[in-house]
Amino acid sequence: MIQQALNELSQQIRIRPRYDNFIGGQWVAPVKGQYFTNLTPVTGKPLCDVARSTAEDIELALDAAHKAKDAWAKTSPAERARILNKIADKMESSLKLLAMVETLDNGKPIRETMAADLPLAIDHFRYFAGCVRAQEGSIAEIDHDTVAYHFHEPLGVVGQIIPWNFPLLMACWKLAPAIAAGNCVVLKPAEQTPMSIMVLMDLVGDILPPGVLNVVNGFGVEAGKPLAQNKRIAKIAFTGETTTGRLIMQYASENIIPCTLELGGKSPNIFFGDVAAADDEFFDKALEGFAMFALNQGEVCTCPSRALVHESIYDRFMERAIARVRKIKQGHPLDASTMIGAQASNDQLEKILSYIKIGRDEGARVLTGGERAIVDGETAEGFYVQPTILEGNNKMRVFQEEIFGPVVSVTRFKTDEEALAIANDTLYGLGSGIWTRDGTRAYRFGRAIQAGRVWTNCYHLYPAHAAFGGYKQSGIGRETHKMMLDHYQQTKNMLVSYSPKALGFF
Amino acid sequence: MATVVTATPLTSTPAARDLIGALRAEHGALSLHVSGRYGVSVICLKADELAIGSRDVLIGHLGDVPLYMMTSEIKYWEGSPLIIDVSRGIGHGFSLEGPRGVHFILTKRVATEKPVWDADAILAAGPPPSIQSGSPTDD
Repeated sequence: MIQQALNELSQQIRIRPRYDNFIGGQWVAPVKGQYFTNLTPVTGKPLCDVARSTAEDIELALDAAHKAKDAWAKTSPAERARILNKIADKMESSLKLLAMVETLDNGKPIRETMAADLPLAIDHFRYFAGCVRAQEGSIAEIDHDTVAYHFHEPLGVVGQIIPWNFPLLMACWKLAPAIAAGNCVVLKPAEQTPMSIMVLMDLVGDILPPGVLNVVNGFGVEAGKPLAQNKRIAKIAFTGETTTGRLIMQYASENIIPCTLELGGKSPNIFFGDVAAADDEFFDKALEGFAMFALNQGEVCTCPSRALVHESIYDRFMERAIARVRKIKQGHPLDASTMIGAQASNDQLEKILSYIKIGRDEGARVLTGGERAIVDGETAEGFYVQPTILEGNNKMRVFQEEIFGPVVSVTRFKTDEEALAIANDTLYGLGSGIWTRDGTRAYRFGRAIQAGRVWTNCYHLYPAHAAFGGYKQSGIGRETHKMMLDHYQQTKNMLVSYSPKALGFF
Repeated sequence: MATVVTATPLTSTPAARDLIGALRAEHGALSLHVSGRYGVSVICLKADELAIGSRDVLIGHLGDVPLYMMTSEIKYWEGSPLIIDVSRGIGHGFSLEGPRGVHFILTKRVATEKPVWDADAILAAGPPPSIQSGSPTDD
């Protein structure tokens, strides 16, 4: 199936056995000539080779970005928007192909890349194309002789480092606002998933003026670090783990530049008693909401991996929830009916299996799943695990630690206060879910949860125009909303005097 | 200068000791940092890379390389022995072992034994000495 997919892909878009860096609108080999092999988690086998870049390559990318930045900054918002819309249109006309490449690079099922990852990525360019055209500065009449003009100006050249769990979507979340705002970008994809963005560059790279977008692949310490530390960027954006986030803030402070960070979470999903008041479509939706821990194989910073179910409905709810989870179809990620794909690496798979063992050792009950999954065929050596429900209490490691797999830990709660305390008992504050038919409770509870995203009677929706980001140690800044333009611009105040008279000071 | 509590909770596997030895030979003085209890990573950096301050505690050493944890984490980890090991897979973030296709991990034994170390004692010892002057405790 993989070979068939690659053949189909290569008839319509360029698939290379080896990817250089994309710099100044060209494919540029890494200066030191080194490459590393990128595996597909679907089969565990090699997919392509990718540039193993170093500081020298980052400098080339920055050279190209700096060369392009003045002209791009002067490009009108309408023209920038036209270009972003053209990128969106081109992506949309190749949606299935890009979805296939994303599935091959990350392991997630094509059902998700086609329904979620790619449409959201495409929409992001369209959203920011609209935002930038509608953006205005402001004017204030200070007094009869003095007027303050406020202009939004781009920062210049920015660095962006993205994770492996949604390679194309995370790239587009960062690229769209930065480029819309008039900046040039050097992007460092995750070393686990370096390919799909390069396929995208083959597809849309010539739509942008050369140097506006540059993509450099490599390992974090060899390519990411020289980018984050560089004196020639005006801002750094990072999504990833905490210590590296701390380092990035430190480098930003050395260079006195802004940084935005998204560092992960441990999200609670809370089901109040009234969700089971009727066995209707809303109850059915709540059951799907419970099963959302399996989306993207659980490899999401906002994975609802801690479920709290009110004790009054616990048995009834869990009986139906277990049945729902057992219906999740495992299979080849390129099969259109497969609902859950491969974990992104063997390492991730082993970590998940070891957590399931830890859960058992701690006394958690395995209500369903709990084992590695073997998907027959060419995928037999791929990285698959069964969707798993563990029943226990909030003190257990499987409740506290981020497993990053399709594993949910479920516990009962008695009172709203208890649920709130459990929900907020975490260093992180990225996502959370509340399910209730009572609007007032939903409002009060949602305002009390210390998280940047409170999904209310839904989960895992990421539309543009809904701000997304973390409280506490989950990060700084918000994405997927026009407020992102502020993160990528600075304000020029022209304070103009129309009076010919001296002030009388000197 | 504050002293570190002597009963270090940290032990290591031969694989971890081999890896740190190889990294030491390649890069010189190093430091290790536990990156959260969620999606736990252990990040290996050059000794002077990350500014250590009042939010960090020194937990122990792997060879002569100090392992730091943030004060917000320590209550979670206390009690059970901590084991630093190596797992397959590209390292996270800017960790030095990344390109080798392996990475450090920290685990704790499930808390069925009585506690062998106390977070409050380590916190009371104050912020760690500066990395340059820090020296290994008796192991």
